[in-house]
Amino acid sequence: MKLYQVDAIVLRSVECGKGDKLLLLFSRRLGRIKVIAHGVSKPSSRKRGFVQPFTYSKFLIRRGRELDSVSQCEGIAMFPFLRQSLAMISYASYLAELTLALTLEGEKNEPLFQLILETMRLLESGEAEILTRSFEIKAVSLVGYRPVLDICAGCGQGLTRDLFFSAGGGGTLCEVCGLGDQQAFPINKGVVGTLKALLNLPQDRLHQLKVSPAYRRQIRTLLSRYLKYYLERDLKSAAFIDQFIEDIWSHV
Amino acid sequence: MNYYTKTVARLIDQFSRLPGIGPKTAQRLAFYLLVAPPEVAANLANAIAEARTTVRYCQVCGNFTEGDRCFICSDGRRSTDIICVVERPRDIVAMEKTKGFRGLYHVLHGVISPMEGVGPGQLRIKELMRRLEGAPVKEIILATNPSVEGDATALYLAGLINPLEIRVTRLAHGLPVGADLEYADQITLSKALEGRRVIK
Repeated sequence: MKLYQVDAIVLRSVECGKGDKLLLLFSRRLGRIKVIAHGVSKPSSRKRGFVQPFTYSKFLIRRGRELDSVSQCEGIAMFPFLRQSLAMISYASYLAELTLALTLEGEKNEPLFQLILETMRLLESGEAEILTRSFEIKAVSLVGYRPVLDICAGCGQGLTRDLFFSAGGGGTLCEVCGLGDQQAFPINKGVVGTLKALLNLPQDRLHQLKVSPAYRRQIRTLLSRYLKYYLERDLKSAAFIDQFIEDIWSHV
Repeated sequence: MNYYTKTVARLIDQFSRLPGIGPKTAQRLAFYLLVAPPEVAANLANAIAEARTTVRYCQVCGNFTEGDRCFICSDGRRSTDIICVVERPRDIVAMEKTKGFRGLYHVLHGVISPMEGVGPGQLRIKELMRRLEGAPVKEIILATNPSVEGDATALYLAGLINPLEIRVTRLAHGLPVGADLEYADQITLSKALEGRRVIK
């Protein structure tokens, strides 16, 4: 069939001359796909609004020899609030960049699609940081790197009073395993409990979770190390958020 | 396998490095120059070399210029209390074609992009803020593109400039001339509704 239809979120769009844009889409049915949208930088384009990053649109795509192209599209959810503050733009960029980093082209992952869609929808609630932390731990779990939080990831025994966390070790470690792992760093049970809640609570119930600023900082560092270990690189938008977070929150 | 002499191959290679020019177009341009009168190639070469050596950034606004200041910054008839901030020098050309703006410009040479790792430090924002110190500027028009990156840049600049008690405005968003309402997306249409004007 020459044409096919997908519902997808635009994760990224890259200018590629003559008003065309290369779109990286994340679709429910086909996972991550790369398509070209012709002439969408021009004001006269009918598709222009629906191919903006962070929009959820219905695409009719024409198969091409090298690259498929957008034939028609219609917006399902435009998430206008994601463009109303620098903080929202930064967090949405981070969600998109992390999804791109965790997925491969053509690899279907419907739960991850549902997760990013729901997280983007809920970002308006104002709990962007908690939603993002929860997205991180859930997304990394959905691609197969779920951190062990109930037992010691090293020896499989129950957790001791003094706990450690190691990205390379795969999660929480008991005192004996933690002391033997050079990358491990101490954490307290409260942080582990919060991580479990971030992993298990549905996104729309995260507003019930009360997390102290100290825990937020620890969890941010811990998850950032965990993601870096598996992705083997830093994400640009994460660095942007870290660098400008104080500025950003003053603009929300 | 080499199909061309070394010089022709080099010419094609140089053309194909330019944006938007693929190997076929590069080949067509190279062969055109080889058969065109010699002065065509000489004039092109001179124009490129001269532009590259004499054109630099305006010390005030960052536009392209041959002197220290561009023709807009040197024009005494232009209003100095209003500055239009644009992403690239070619946006100035688009704005000038409207003939509706008689103020000055400031070129950022890029936009904030969290995903590309482009932060405010990589743009000419410090230069803009220095320009505003002590200058009689009453209004800043943020004319960055209505894209995610353009919005991010505009929001960041608004946060910096608003405390200086200078009026900060953004170019209106809405329906382009000749567009059909039926094909407008929700964001464009809602922006057009927000910015609706009384008709007399």
